[in-house]
Amino acid sequence: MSTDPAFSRALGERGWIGMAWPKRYGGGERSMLERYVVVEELLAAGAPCGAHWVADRQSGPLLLLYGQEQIKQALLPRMARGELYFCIGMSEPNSGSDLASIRSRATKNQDGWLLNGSKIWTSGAHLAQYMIGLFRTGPVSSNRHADLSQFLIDMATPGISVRPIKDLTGADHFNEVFFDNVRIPADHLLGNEGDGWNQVMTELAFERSGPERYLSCIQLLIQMIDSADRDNERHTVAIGKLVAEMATLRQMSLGIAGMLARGENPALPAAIVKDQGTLVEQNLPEIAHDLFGIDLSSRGGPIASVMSYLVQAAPSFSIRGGTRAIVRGIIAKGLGLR
Amino acid sequence: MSNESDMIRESVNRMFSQRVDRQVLDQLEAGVWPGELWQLVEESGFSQVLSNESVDAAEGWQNAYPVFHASGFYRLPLPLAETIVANALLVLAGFAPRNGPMTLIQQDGHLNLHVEDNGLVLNGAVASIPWARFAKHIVIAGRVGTQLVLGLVEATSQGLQISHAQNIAGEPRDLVSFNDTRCTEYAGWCEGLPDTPVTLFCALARAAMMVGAAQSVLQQSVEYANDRVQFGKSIGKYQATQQSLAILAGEVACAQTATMAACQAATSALSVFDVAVAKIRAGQTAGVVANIAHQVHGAFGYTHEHTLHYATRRLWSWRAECGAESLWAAQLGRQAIERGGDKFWTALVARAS
Ligand SMILES: Cc1cc2nc3c(=O)[nH]c(=O)nc-3n(C[C@H](O)[C@H](O)[C@H](O)COP(=O)(O)OP(=O)(O)OC[C@H]3O[C@@H](n4cnc5c(N)ncnc54)[C@H](O)[C@@H]3O)c2cc1C
Repeated sequence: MSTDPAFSRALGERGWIGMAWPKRYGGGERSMLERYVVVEELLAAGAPCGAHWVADRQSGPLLLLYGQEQIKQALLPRMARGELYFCIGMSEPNSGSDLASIRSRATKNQDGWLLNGSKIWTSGAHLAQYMIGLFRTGPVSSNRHADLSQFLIDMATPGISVRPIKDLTGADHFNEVFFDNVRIPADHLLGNEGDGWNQVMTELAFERSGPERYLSCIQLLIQMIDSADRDNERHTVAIGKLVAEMATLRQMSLGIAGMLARGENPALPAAIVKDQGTLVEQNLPEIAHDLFGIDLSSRGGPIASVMSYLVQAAPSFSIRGGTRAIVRGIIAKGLGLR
Repeated sequence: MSNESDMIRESVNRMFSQRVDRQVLDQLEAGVWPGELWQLVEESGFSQVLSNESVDAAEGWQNAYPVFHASGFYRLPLPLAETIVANALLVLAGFAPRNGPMTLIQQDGHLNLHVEDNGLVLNGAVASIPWARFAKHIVIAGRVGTQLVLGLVEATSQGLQISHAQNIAGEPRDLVSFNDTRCTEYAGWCEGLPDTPVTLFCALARAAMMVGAAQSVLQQSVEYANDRVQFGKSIGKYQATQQSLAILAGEVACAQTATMAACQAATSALSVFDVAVAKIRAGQTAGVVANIAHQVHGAFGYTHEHTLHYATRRLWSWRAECGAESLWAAQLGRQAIERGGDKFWTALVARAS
């Protein structure tokens, strides 16, 4: 998703960021379903929401749950105005799927915490003013989940350095973030010390429950429809099946928004939508290739440019936010197999 | 869903779980009509869930969904879905619902309808008509000239002949031929109702039955994976098995969502878009589910002794009936292409066809 801070601020002005947050924190007190409609329309239109996306989707809700009052008052209204951007500090070079094995450490001192270590694959760390990061706050004990904690980190704090990592498309999307004796205030601990694991699972549920997982490829489908011949049965059958997939995924996604609105935990259905959504999205460029054999030349038309991007981006859909194997593990657990 | 549909779900599941066993299933495959079971089902009123004029179409389909679902889940060896739909169409055409098992025919190129002496007369032959040999009445939808009509034929009518055939699940799929056969009654089919009501209504019913069958297969597979031990632990503890069953569960969730959405939004005309999505999605699920379930069950599941095949053979049959995925997809795809890419999203949200 492309990034445009001016667009984010304009959305904030319309009240379309933090829509479901309380008014006293700059939110709109709208329902989760109303928020869902806006999010879906933004994605469908390919709007440049990259700057504020994480803040709106997961960091804001997380702060509402676990942030200290003065922090909520200071940050949430600016997030809702589209001025403050967040990044997610979970993965480390040696800790991807096995997130509980992270080594970056937070040590308590007299006036707060001292952070050391590094995070990797941090999307938008070069643009975000804040990170919510997961750190180890105790010894690595037999219970690996027990001594993790989440922190709010001002990215301008001395000792933090951000090194861009080019992704395979050549874009500067994610980064490595180094922490060298970074001092942060005591009230920047989110929730309770040692509760980081449960909190991070809540955060991932926010991350996985949106309609992203079936709408990243919609621009390609639109181009495919315009390139297709209505009298060619290969075209009509393939497009019709994709329409059915999209209609189904949308209905499931809407169901999850309904669960969120009713205060239910959508972790299992969200995992199912993510798995099924990535299957469809990764299949889409394959079908486009099969039907149209699109030459991926930089001089090609609109379908070539959308296709060129998606062919390259598609592999990441089943890696970020939990790999396919991990997501299916969550589903299997829900089935009572683990 | 409403209280009423919850009550129907409960009672239909209670009845089928007690009454549909492998004995009646095997009897049917040996050609024996499960008359006692039919009696029980008919007395319960299930065959008229969709022909109750005091509820609107959406409520009717929401009440019918659990009945179709349970018919698939318990692999019911009766033409209940066909009878439910036949009654629904009779009522829409202004007739009273009927007692006894029924089936339906959507006119195709092999069947000719004409009006003679104020009666509808049929000539020709149509293949793969579900349960025809056991039906007391057959509902026929088609055209006389440009006029859409719905007719009702008694099984004992003159010139009506049935020759037996069945799908791979052993369900009757007969060839029905007419030689100047007269309908006992017929009516013009009202404006605003679908042109091919039998195809459309039966497709949604079949989709719901596939969801039920697929869900029973999921349940059976998870149970089996937890029970079967190899290399010292249950095979459900192996990640490869877990990942396959996770796919199976995702497929079932998709089919269920698509089908329930179509029922919840139903009007008396049904939405062609919703029905197409449901039939396509459930049909795709059928193949994946059968494949994974048989893999998980190993050789035991490949035996006739095991009950898995009662569901998987139905899934393989049903996905091809009432329009296979490609047939419905060609229709959806053509509409999307004619509408153009820039209208794709709004049409998807409106579920418009
Ligand atoms: C575009 C992009 C953006 C990202 N943005 C962020 C971000 O903003 N913040 C952040 O913290 N992280 C981010 N990530 C990182 C992402 O969360 C990790 O990549 C992901 O969790 C997987 O970790 P890994 O890459 O180390 O792969 P690994 O965990 O090493 O996995 C490699 C392969 O091994 C498989 N595997 C691993 N463990 C198991 C197991 N137990 N059973 C079976 N198979 C297994 C995986 O499924 C995968 O196929 C981003 C990643 C991408 C691609």
